[in-house]
Amino acid sequence: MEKINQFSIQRLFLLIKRHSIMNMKTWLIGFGALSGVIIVSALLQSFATGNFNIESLSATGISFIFIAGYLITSMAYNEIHTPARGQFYLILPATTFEKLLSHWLLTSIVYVLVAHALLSLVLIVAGLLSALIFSTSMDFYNPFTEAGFKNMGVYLVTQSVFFLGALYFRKNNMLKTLLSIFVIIVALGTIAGLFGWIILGEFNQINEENLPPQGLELFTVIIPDIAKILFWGLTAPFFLIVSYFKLKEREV
Amino acid sequence: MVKIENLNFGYRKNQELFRELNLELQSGNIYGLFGMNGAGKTTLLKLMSGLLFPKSGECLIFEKNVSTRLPEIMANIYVIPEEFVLPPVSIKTFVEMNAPFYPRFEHTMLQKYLQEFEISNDKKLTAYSYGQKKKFLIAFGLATQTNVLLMDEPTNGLDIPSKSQFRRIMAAASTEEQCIIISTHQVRDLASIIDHVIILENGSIIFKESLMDISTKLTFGKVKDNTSEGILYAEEVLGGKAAILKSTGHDTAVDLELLFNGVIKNSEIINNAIKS
Repeated sequence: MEKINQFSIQRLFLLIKRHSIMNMKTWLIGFGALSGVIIVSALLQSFATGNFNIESLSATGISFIFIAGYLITSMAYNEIHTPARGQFYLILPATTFEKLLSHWLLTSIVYVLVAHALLSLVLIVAGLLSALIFSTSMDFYNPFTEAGFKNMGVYLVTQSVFFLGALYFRKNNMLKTLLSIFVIIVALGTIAGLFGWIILGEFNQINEENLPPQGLELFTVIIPDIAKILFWGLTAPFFLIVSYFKLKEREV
Repeated sequence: MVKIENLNFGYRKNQELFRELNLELQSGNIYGLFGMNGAGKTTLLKLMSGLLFPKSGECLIFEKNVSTRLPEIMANIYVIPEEFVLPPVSIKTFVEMNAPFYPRFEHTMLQKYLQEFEISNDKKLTAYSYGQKKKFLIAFGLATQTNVLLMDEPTNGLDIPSKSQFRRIMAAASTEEQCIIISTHQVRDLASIIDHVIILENGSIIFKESLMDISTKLTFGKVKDNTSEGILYAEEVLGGKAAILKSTGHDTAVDLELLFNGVIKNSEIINNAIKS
C-alpha cells in the first residue's frame, strides 16, 4: 500500500494528459491567433519595407511567448478556484508533488520548447509567404542560440512567480500577480533607496573617485553577483516550494 | 473503515459547526445521512473526503488521515457532489482522463450502469441535462469500486423513473467491502436501500442506528389520538395521526420521514426507546 504514495511517473503522465485535454482548445485558439498576428505583421512589414526582417519578427514572437506563457501559467489552476470543478481535481488520487509538477512542466519546459518550435515554424511560413508575394529573401529563426537559451531561462524563472499567483489568487490571477510584482518592486526599491541615502548620502555618485576600493567592489561585483544568484538559483525554487504548500493546503 | 475522532470544524473562527464529533462507519453498509438545511451534511462529506480540513481531530479511512490526501487514501474514496461542473469533453474522454487513477475501475460496470440509466455515449458532458450528468457521475463513481463512496443528494434532479433506476442500481452494486454514505433531504427516495440511519443536527450526530434495530425496537403506525399507549412521537396526517410507538412485537416498515421528524423533535425519547 505504501508504494502507491511514492512518486509515480505513470500518474504524472496521466495528469499531464488530463490538463492537456482540458486546455487544448484554449491553447490552440491562442497559438492560432498569435501565429496569425505574426504572419500578418511579417507581410505588412515586407510590403512596407521590401525586406523580411527576421530579427524584429522573432523579437515580437518572443514577447508573445512571454506574455502568452504568463497568461497560460496564470490560468493553470483555474479548475480548483471553482469549487464545483475543483473538487474532482482535489480528490484525484495523485500526490501533491505530481499535481504540481504536471502543471509546472506543461507551463514551463514543455511550453517554452513547443512555443519556440511553433515560432520557428510560423516564421518559416511567414518567410515563404513573404518571398512568394513580395519576392523578399528567405531567412530562418534559430531559437537554439545563446540569446535564445537565455530568453528561455528568463521565462522559466519569471514564470514561477505567475505559477504561485495562479494558486494564490482566485480571480484575475495574472493582473493580480503583475500588481503584486509592481508593489513589491516599488517597496524594495524604496527601501533600497532609503538605505542607500542613509549610508551613502554624502556621495553624489558611486564611482572610483568617491568610494574606497572595497566599496566599489561591493557595488560593481558583489551585489550584482548576489542578485544573479538570487535570480537564477533561488527565485524559481522559492516560488515553486511556496506553490507546493499552497496546493497541499488547498481546500474546496 | 471510516472513523471520525474528536473532530472540530467551523467555517469561521468563532463559529463552530462540529464540536468534538465522533463517528464510526463500517464496510458492507449503506448509511443514510439526514439532517435539516445547514445541519452540516455536505460539510461532513467534504471533511470525510479531504476536501476540507478539520480545525482539530481527524477523519481516518483505513486508519489513515484523509487530510493528507495521499493517493493510497484517495484511490479508496469517490465523491458524487450535489453541485458540480463537468468539463466539456465526451464520456469516453472523461473516463480516459480519470479512470486510470482508480486501480479497481471497471469499464464493463460503467457501461452496464450507463445502459441502465439510459445515457448515450455520443455527446459532450456539457450537452447533457443536470439529471443525466448526475446519473453519469453515479455510474462513474460506482465503477471506480472505491471502498468509500460518498453521495451528496444523489436523487436531486433525477426524474421518477431515474430514481427507481438509482435504487435498483444501488441495491445491486453495493458490496461487503464498501461503505456508502448517502446524504439527502429526500428520505423517501432512499428508504429501500439504506441499512443505517444517521441524523445530524446543528453539527452533532443526534441519532445513529441500524434499520434492523429501529424496526425491532419501534413500531410505525396510525393512532387516533396522542393518548394511545407507548407513543413516542405523533404527527397529524390525513385520516388520523402517524406515530412512532414502542415496539408492539409486530414488524412494521420503517417510515423514515416520521422517524426523522420524531428524532428532530425529541431525539432523547427515540434513542432511549431503541436502547431500552
